[in-house]
Amino acid sequence: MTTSVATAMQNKVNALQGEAHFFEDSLSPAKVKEYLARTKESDKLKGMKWLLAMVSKGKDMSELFSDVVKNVVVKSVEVKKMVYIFLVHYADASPTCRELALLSINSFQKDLAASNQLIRALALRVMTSIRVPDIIQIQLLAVRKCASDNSPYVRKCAATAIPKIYALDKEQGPELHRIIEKLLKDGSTMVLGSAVAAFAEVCPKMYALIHPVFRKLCHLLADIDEWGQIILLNVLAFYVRNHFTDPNRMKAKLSSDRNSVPISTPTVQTNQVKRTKRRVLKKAFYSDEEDESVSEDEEIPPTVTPAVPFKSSTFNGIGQSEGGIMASEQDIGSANLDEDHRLVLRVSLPLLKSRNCGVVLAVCAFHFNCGTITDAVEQQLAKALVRILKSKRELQFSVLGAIRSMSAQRPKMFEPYLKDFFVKGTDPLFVSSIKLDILCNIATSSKWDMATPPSWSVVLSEFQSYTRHGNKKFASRSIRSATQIAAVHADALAPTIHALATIMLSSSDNYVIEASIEGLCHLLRRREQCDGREVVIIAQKLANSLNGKKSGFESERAKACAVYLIGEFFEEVGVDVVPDLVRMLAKKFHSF
Amino acid sequence: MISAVYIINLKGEIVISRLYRDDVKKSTVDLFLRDVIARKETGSLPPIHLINGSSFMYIRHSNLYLVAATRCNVNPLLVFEYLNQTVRIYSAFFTSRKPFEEKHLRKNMTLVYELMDECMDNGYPQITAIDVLNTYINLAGGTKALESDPYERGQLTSQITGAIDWRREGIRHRKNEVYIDVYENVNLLMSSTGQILRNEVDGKVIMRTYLTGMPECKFGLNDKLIMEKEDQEKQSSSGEITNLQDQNRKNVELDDCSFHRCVRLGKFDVDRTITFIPPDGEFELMRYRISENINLPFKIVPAVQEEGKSRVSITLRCSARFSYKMFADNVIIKVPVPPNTARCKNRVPFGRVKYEPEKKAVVWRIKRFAGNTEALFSAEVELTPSVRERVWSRPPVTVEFLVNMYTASGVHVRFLRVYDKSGYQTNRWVRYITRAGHYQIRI
Repeated sequence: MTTSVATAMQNKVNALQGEAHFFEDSLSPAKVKEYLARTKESDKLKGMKWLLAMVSKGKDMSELFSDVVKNVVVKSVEVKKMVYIFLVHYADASPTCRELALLSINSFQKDLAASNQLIRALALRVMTSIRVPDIIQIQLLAVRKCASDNSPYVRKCAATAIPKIYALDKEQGPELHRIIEKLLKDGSTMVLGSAVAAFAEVCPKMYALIHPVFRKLCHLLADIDEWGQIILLNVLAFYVRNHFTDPNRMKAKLSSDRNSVPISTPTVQTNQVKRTKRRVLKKAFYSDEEDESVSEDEEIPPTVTPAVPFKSSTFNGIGQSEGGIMASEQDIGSANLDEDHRLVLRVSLPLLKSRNCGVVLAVCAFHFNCGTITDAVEQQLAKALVRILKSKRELQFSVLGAIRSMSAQRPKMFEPYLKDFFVKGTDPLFVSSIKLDILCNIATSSKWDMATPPSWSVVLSEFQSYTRHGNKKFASRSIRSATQIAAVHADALAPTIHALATIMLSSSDNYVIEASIEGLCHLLRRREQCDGREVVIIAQKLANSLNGKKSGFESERAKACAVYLIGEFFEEVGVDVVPDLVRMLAKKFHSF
Repeated sequence: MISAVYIINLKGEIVISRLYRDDVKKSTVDLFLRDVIARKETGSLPPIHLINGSSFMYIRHSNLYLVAATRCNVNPLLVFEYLNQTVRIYSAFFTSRKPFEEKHLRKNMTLVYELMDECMDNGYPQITAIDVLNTYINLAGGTKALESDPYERGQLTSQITGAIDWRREGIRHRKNEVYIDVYENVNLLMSSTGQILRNEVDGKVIMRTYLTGMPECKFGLNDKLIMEKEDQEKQSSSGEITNLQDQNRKNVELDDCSFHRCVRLGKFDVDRTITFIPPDGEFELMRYRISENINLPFKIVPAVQEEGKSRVSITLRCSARFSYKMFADNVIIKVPVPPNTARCKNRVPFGRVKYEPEKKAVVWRIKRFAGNTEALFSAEVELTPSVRERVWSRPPVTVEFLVNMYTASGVHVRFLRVYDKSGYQTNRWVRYITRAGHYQIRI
């Protein structure tokens, strides 16, 4: 009586806690074995949950593998899913497990023939996740079968399974290429994303697979799911770099190019045209270019379907639709662009407004590497990058990294957003130092800038406030960056030297003093006439430090710079002072 | 692609782990745990770590770290975006959109595993739309088993395979309602002389829709470009000069915007109209940024005097520059003081003020700050003499506030039209909230 009440209570408590108690419960493996062997589903469930909790804690539970595998035939989907998770986790843990895993194959094959598409997909997903080389032929067979399933969901799963098999056995390459080729021709956007991912992983250099579907991929880019878009953009970037001439360097070459014979091996795909048409119907509300794509599809004679996308000057289907569709059309600019190149640039640009930061970065990288350099596009890219910069802290780091490398090549691009890179008080060092680099990139390049005030002066005055920053490492870095900027702009030389001298005198931090004297050393050399005021101060400080007083000249580099300057400007310092200083210095050379 | 996802607590213990590929070694993961998580310095370390050729990328969510490991050269934002989506999904499933904690994960352990399986396959993110996931997750208390009625199943197929995967067909609501919340964060960086160094508004429009069928919506803000175009059209069609009211109307220039994926981006590119078929329930329709003609809700003029080595006097003149009919709630003004502050004599007209040594600042809290008023803050700070003389770095004054029914940018919702075949009436509710983002004044 009391025990039943107690268990009832226990059950109630468990219900309230959900599954958390499985983490603490001290069930013995033998007990779990017993649970798994029972026929009641709730008992099996209990056993499985405990097992998963242990797995999740990092305990090795492979000894129970055989007891779990037996349950693979259970009807209950809940138990089944858990068994699958366990199976994938331990299938290749030990030779016995591998052998036992083979036992489960039958049940998978049964599920692969199930009428429910979700069950089919699940079975395929789990079976291909079992990393046991013995079953690779069965896996391959299943993938091939599922690649022509009538449900796109299952086909998608087949596409994702391809890299799994490839990772297990590279020998299967040619067979897998054939499946990828087939899946790339699929009409469903759902499948395409995964098919492209498989392509990128298994055979990223086999552009022959992309040639026939290039235009389709471009047109469907906006409809593929966001994760697929990122991968596809990457693939397209490689494709474009390999197959089109650099639009920014081809102006001269172009005229001769036009006359050359297109290298094309027209592949005939009658059914592809049908597919694109179907897409237009389906899209109804969401196609961006309804009118355009309808007319376009009709224009395409079935025999000339998008073949090799090299020179398509003979082909005017797309030329018509180009009319006045998008504002971005003019932005892309450059009349010398290949039609297909233009197409891919055009369709990718609207994705800059995507909510997924990954897509935005992918588009920016794509246009940066493959696009034409025009102000309009550059502004759009910069704007989008600055926008995603505002989101989560973790993203900031990566986005700033991207901006840093872009700004090194094209600093003009980010000049309007100068103030967005100003360092905030809360920025950690790893963020603020990248911002510093970006600001420095922009400021050092704007040499002939007519803007008022010129960006270098804005940046320099901003840097001045950074030199008082609490983090001295950062402060000294900003001094070094300021030196770089002043070295480029002659107008900035005098005020910067003055500022550095003030910092050197007022600061008490060794890092900062070292950075400022290095800066002075660098800048004073560039100056034509010098009254030597700063050098006199430096000489005094050096003398103090040699006499053992605290002066901030403790570091070797600071001393070296000071000595260099004194030597260079010895007349300004005073002919009678310098030899004395040098003598004192020489006395310190104990080691010699 | 992503090799594994771990959820780790602050102690550095793995709560949940899911290996999608077996190329990241257990020993490398232990190294990561030891060197990065256990050190408790993640705030000052970059969110990406490379250990023995494996990259670890992590985000923090309440008391947990979500970590993704990979050996590929993957787009880092894809990974972070995925981890953030994961947080969103778990919050939706476990705690109805409130931040979840370790105990929730343990409580729903099997569901976590199922979600991890559905959202990612072989390291590639799959479906991450909560609505869709909901329809084929079946461990969540067995709400929807796979063997449901054929009608359901057909629907599911069309949803995950169709072009519109964020909304299923046949949704019915008795009342058709739309709630629109416009949130704005004002960022300001002002120099001590009152010069504006940086000023902008980050805005977002959150929508909650309870609509029947597959409605098409058209949404309009007072976007300058659209308004000018409409005015031109009006003029050319009717030949009238735009009336006075139109001229007074303030239009805003949206610097930059991004949209939920239900919005037709192409259409926006062409004529700047925002059209979409909304998901059911809450979603973020758009984000925008505005950097011109911003009304600053608070103006603060600081004056700081360091009198010798033992005294600093700080005065701030704060004025609320919005209409007297409105209030700012929970205003917090943090005035930094030197680290060697001994005592602080503060004077304020209202609210509570206190020197908080751990923040190295005097914090002034005001429950309600009426519009169109001015207040004077003054503090006499006494310093303890220190052996090493240090220059006070003077960090900026930061301000936090929240103003209801006010937008700093002047954005307002002009219209939301809902078209559906059945032609029902829709109730619309709009709310505006302005908050302080990084609102800083240098002193």
